[in-house]
Amino acid sequence: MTAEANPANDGFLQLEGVSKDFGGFRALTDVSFKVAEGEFICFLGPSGCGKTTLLRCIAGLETQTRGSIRMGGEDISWLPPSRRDFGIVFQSYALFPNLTVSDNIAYGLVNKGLARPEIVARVTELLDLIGLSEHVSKYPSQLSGGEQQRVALARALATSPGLLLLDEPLSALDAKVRARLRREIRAIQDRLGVTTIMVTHDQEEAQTMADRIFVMNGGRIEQLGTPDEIYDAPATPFVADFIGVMNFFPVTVVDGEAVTPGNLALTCDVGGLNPGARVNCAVRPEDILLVDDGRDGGENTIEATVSDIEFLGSFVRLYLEAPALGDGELRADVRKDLARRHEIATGRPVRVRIPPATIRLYGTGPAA
Amino acid sequence: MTTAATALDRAQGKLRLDRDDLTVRWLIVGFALFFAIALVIPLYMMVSRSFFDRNGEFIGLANYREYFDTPALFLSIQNSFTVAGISTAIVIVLAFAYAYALNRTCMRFKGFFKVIAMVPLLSPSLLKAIALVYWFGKQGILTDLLFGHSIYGPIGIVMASVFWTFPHAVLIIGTALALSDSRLYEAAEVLKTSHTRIFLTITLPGARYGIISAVIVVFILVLTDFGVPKVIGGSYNVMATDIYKEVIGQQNFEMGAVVSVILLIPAVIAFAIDRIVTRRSVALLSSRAVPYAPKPNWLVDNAMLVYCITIAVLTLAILGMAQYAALVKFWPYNLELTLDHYSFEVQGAGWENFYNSLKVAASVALIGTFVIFIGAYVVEKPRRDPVARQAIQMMALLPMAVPGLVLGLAYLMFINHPSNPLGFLYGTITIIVLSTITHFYTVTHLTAATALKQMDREFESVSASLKVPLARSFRRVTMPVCMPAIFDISIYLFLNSMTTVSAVIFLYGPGTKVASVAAIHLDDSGETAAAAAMAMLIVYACIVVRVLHVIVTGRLLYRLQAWRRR
Ligand SMILES: Nc1ncnc2c1ncn2[C@@H]1O[C@H](COP(=O)(O)OP(=O)(O)OP(=O)(O)O)[C@@H](O)[C@H]1O
Ligand SMILES: [Mg+2]
Repeated sequence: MTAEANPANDGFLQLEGVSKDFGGFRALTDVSFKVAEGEFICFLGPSGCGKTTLLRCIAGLETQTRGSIRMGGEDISWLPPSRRDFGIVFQSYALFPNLTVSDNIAYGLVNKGLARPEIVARVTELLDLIGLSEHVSKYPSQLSGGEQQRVALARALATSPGLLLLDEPLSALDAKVRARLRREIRAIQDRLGVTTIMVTHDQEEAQTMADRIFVMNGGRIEQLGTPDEIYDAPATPFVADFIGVMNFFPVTVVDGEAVTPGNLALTCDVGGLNPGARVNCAVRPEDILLVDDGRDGGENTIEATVSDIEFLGSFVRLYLEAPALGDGELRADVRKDLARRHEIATGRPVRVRIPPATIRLYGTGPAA
Repeated sequence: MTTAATALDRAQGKLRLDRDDLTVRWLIVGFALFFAIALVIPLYMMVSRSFFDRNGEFIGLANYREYFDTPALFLSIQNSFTVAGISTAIVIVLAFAYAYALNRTCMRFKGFFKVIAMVPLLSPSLLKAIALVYWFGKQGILTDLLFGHSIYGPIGIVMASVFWTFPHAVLIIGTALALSDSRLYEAAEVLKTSHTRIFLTITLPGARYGIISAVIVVFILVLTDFGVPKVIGGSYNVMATDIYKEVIGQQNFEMGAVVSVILLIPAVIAFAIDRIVTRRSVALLSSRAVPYAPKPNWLVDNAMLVYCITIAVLTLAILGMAQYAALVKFWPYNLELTLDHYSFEVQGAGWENFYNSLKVAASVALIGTFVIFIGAYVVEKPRRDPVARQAIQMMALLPMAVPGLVLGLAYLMFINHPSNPLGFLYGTITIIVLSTITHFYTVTHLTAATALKQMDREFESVSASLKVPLARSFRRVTMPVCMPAIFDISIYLFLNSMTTVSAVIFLYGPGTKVASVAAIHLDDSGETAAAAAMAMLIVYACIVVRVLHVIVTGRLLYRLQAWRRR
């Protein structure tokens, strides 16, 4: 391929080798990705991993130390924010306190040279979109957090930007409002088809809203993929640990099997790992099955004792002590009715089975 | 590593600026020029002058040696520090008790006492000195109370200084006492701690930064004040009056510069300490603190009431006496009331001085508020050019450390310098306004900066994303939201411009003498009653403007700023 840019191939938004240093501290390291037009992307990662910094680089509010950013086929790496095409919603909303809801929404429209009736029409349209038509002349301080959030969203969307950036837009809200707004935001995005990037550290939020999730850690993107891919096939132990719940225990690879510290051989796909390699074995709690008393569990069956039980709504989480797996506790999620049928109680010995297909092996541990 | 550095250089070179970035750059250049002309060059000239002789020959420290070899001059240092130290000790104790009564008791009439405490701010410091002369002077009413000591000298300086610095100390200590965490007191009470012990272990330590700050501010105010020792100091020389005498009396600019530098040193040190202390005190209080609500205590509340009444009576006695003195025909022989003293039929004084004061104060309030607020905005809000903006901030903090008299002398040398193209400004209202804005720059800058800091940091980012020009957001959002602070700044500038003496006493020209300076001159030539009348004119103007200010902030803000109400 030639070096000439080809917008169709490049995707709508494209980052290449973007790094950001603050003094001596490296907040972003070599970030590259492409986003297609109309996609809903979530940056997901623990606090301080550089999500906000990356979003601000895309907006032009920070300038990358290295790398390039292209949008719509144009190199925007060095453009100031005012010459990039985006709308943004901050965690604090940053609504102008002295302007009414409609004035806030109209704020960016006024200097586009639109006639008064056009502005009014556009504001009305947006108020309908966010469902706040009856609050036009209120001030931000007279609105609830969720309403303020929607006004901020409408303000960002008013000028029909090509890219919508959301920095933890829901984190200041309580759980119920948050769940409702998730669906509302996603519905609005679907309707308008605007390419959207949302920053969050809430994996549930990312999984329910995003087309693709970019999992970040320590200034790097660890994995990018659809919510299913990320959950079912975490590329690194960090992702495996960060998304959902994951059991880890050390094993040694021997003859196509993984041998636990307690000398139990687990059948699993060892891939290209060399015999003798010391690796980490990862299993999700919901993949662990209870074996009926008196029945042969077959391969990968483990003897354990229940040390604690947690009731989590429709299922219970068992904390198991399994000498075969070493010192750590094994977490297993089982349906409530199954737990009842097995007469689960603390101190009771149980047998569990780990289906070979659900086992993943990683060269390093989750803390890496 | 070089690769990182070159990458950064490349980044800087390619970075495109938008119109707002350029606007900010121009503003930065503008403020750099402003501070160069209004502060740095004058100060540099003043300091360097202290190393030259009258003929412009560089003589190193010879002037300083001469200064320390002249016992009379050297004694002034001791005198200055003595009166400043004693005044500070007295003011801090009095102001602490007063602020305690206002913030930590259930005393009645708090609103009234809050207002009364601030009354001295409405008059020049010399007015207190003049009033004391009438109370305790040679023909005073209460002269016998001094048991033969003269009011002219350290006693008078200390008394007048206590009166005029009292409101400053009450404000600072009051702020510290208002910031308190009731949870500490509840914890102490649960542990059955005695009142004295609570006071010593919680109240005092909690206010310690405020107290330290007040000590520093009051000490420097007294140390560098000129009006009081000029009027009531008699033969007791202090550094501030020395500067005046050297420059005005003997035309010895070099020695004036030496004294100024020596006065500048403690001021700069004290100011640096104050900045550190203030920064620490902010971090002291967690955002989750619960404000302290005092409980009624019959004994304490009434004792405090008596105390505050006493202070209020003394405050009004000073103001009342100044007013009485201005109206009495010929003290103490003919006590008939007359308005004669307000006609100022003395050479070099007249109503014109008062009009000049109004002109200066109004200009300073209007132009100063505008300049200072934009300056604070440039320091606080833009994202680019952090180094240049930090330099502007340091410039904004510097004037606080420069005593008014020193600033005035520096301006005099600057404007009189033969090769200064701005020389035509000598003696104009313009130069008086410029010096006054600079003199009061720091406090007002900090007020503006605090207000700006309280605004969401992302307003500017949102505006940029919506392609709204900076100027528009500034007018549409920043200014309206900061309106209370803007009003505060303008009233502060107006009142201080009306009452200040120190910087302007060197800078007036024919036809531009202001009322406070005229009062000093009237007093100097023995026209004490006319001086009192002139000082009272300042008081009237300050009261009128202050009341108007209250009405405007109350009504206008209420009407225009509906969004502040929930
Ligand atoms: N202006 C700055 N100067 C110096 N360091 C910074 C600056 N901004 C961010 N950092 C650092 O860069 C790192 C990444 O910060 P960032 O705000 O991007 O994290 P984040 O992923 O958004 O975290 P959170 O979920 O807590 O918001 C942090 O360690 C932070 O301290
Ligand atoms: Mg963040």
